Amino acid sequence: MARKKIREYDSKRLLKEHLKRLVHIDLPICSAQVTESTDFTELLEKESWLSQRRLVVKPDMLFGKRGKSGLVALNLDFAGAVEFIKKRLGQEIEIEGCKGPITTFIIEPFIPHKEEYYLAISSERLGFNISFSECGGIEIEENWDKVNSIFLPTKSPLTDEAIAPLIADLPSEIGKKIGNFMKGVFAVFQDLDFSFIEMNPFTLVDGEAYPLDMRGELDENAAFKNEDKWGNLEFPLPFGRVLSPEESFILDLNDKTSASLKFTLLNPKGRIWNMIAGGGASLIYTDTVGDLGCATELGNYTEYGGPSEEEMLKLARVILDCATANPDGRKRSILIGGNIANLTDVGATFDGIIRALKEKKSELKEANIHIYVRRGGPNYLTGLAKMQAVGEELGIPVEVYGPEAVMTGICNRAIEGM
Amino acid sequence: MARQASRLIRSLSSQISSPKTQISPLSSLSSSSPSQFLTHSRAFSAAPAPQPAVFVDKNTRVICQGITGKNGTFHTEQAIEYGTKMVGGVTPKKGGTEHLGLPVFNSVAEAKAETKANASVIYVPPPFAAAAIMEAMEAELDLVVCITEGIPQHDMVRVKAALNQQSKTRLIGPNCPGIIKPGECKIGIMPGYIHKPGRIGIVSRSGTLTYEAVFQTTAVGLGQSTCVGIGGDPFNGTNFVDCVTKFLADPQTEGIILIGEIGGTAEEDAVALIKESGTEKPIVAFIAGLTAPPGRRMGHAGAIVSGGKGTAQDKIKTLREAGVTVVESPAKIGAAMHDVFKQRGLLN
Repeated sequence: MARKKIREYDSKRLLKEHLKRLVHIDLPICSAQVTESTDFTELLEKESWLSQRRLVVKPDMLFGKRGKSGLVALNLDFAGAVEFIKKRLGQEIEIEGCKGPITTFIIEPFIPHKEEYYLAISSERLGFNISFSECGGIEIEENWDKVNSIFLPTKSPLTDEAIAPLIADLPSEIGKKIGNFMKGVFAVFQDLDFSFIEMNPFTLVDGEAYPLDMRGELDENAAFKNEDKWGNLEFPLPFGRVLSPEESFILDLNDKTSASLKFTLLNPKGRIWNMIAGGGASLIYTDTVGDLGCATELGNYTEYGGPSEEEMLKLARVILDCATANPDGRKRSILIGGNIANLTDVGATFDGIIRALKEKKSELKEANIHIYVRRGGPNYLTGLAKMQAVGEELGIPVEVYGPEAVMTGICNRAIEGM
Repeated sequence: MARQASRLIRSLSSQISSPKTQISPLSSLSSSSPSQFLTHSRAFSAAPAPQPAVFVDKNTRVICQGITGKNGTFHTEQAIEYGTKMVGGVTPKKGGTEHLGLPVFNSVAEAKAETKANASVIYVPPPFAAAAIMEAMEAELDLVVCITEGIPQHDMVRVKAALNQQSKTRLIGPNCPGIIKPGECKIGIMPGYIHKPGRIGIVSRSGTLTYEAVFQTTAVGLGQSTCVGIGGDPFNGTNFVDCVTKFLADPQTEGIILIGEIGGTAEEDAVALIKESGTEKPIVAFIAGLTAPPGRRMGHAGAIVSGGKGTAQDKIKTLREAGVTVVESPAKIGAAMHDVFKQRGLLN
């Protein structure tokens, strides 16, 4: 899906910059981002407010419920903040069953406050959902009945009239301020192709809205429109996902081409590896291997679509490297192909795989690799024949099947004798 | 969701009970009384063809937006080879030229005026695809099939809003393989050669799984009436409900295959419709992504499972409760349909 989470630091950066540009609201927020590569002296030089105010430190790792995780510190001075962060950077923690290292923190001015408001805007199929509550903050879920929501159909402007039901219970002066703020945030939301913004909470400082905690999601498909507006933006992986070198390599390849190349390492010690074409088909193969009781033996999840021979070669090399690592004499299987191609020349796309196989001749034999191919489509007989031939040439067991065999029949063959 | 389903049921049943609605082309001559239409209809030699049962048929006249691009060229060639009535293409600034033996126009409106096209297929890159859909809508084509993947969400929300404010143009897609009526019309990237004209309507979110279902239903001798790939995006023009509505009313479609995925509620909406219709047509379904853990992204960009809703298990349960035969493996789709046909005495 194209809705990608971004760090709080980036959400606030974008909000501040574009609130000013679009509706001339000067949001007095400031934030500093700290990672393992941050030089604190340089940081202090750039953001002098860090030594002039009391500070709040929070992890900026795309997970919520931070207050309940023991990773938030309030009302520190800069030295205290640095110490707090240094103790925790790089440490592994567990949040909702996901384990991972803390890599990024956000430091902000500590704002003593009384009111905590809640605001959320999200893109729906036919318009936008805008929610507001006077009882925001850590107890928002317990007070969900106090949240007012409106649905704004696409193309309808966010007028004072539309906002009225949201702020109906507020005194009129405050209602006006918050109403204006909402209109500004909505303008940014639309202009920058956000798909989700949540401020829980925002408060009032000198009578003006001031977001304390903020979440944002952008529509990655709109990147081509927003390169300048988004600036130097990172779409972090979900917490707990750390890419292996192989995964990074393929992700990089995928980003540089219009073809689709996906590789996720599931079990490096697994004995069933796959090179399957198509998003739907690849799901099916993994499901079937799971149904047959061998889900834990799956080495990878892979999907490819429309790659050139070179791209296929690179993907195949990575998979074969992983599949042949640490041979132990037991059988290992590689599933190749997938569905009935529409127009891909099956004869040609197998060439990339075949080149990779030839490169790894000895590794394949040592790791006791068996190859199972199932494919249909233009020139499929040529492709299958080539695969059969390379098996004979390299002395590796290769079984080939065309569309007359069910798609997942090779899964049974692959796990036989395991 | 249920409201949408009941609205469709009401329109379905009114279509069945008042055949007069099918004489739509003549109704524009409002000065004459209805009985005069029926006696004078034979005087009009070129009466427009009746509406296709499921969006396309041999009379559909198709233009290609983006025809001169790499994908447009390739797939238009294939379509022509299959026998689809390709009548022209649109590439701005290349109007007046010829490509693959077809006239190229600067705009959809021009193309429609010259070629009497009533459908379009879009092979245009994401930055321009939403505008291409809007253009086809403004020209009031009956059908637009958008193959493009990666259109920004806000663009599609705007397109959806515009689509909902009119009823002339239907969108299939985006990010979809297209639609095919075997033997008559192929719009999209599916392999034509595995299809066979027949009795089963197929609607699917996944292209690759569709081809398996097609291959199997061809192999067991049932063939396909129409196959619709609605695509993997959550913000799309046509959903299961829209296709099932047509399948239920189409006499050629005697059985229906639904291929869904984890994520969203499209399959659940279709179930509401199936239940209300009380249909006796055999329905077989397969839902991919049974083993996907919550919160993980797998397969299509559109297929995310978030906390309970949209899991494959939920969908399968809901479908079975409506009398749908749900198979646990895509290998069994064709055989399952064949079995149900046999049980109901529908095999010859």
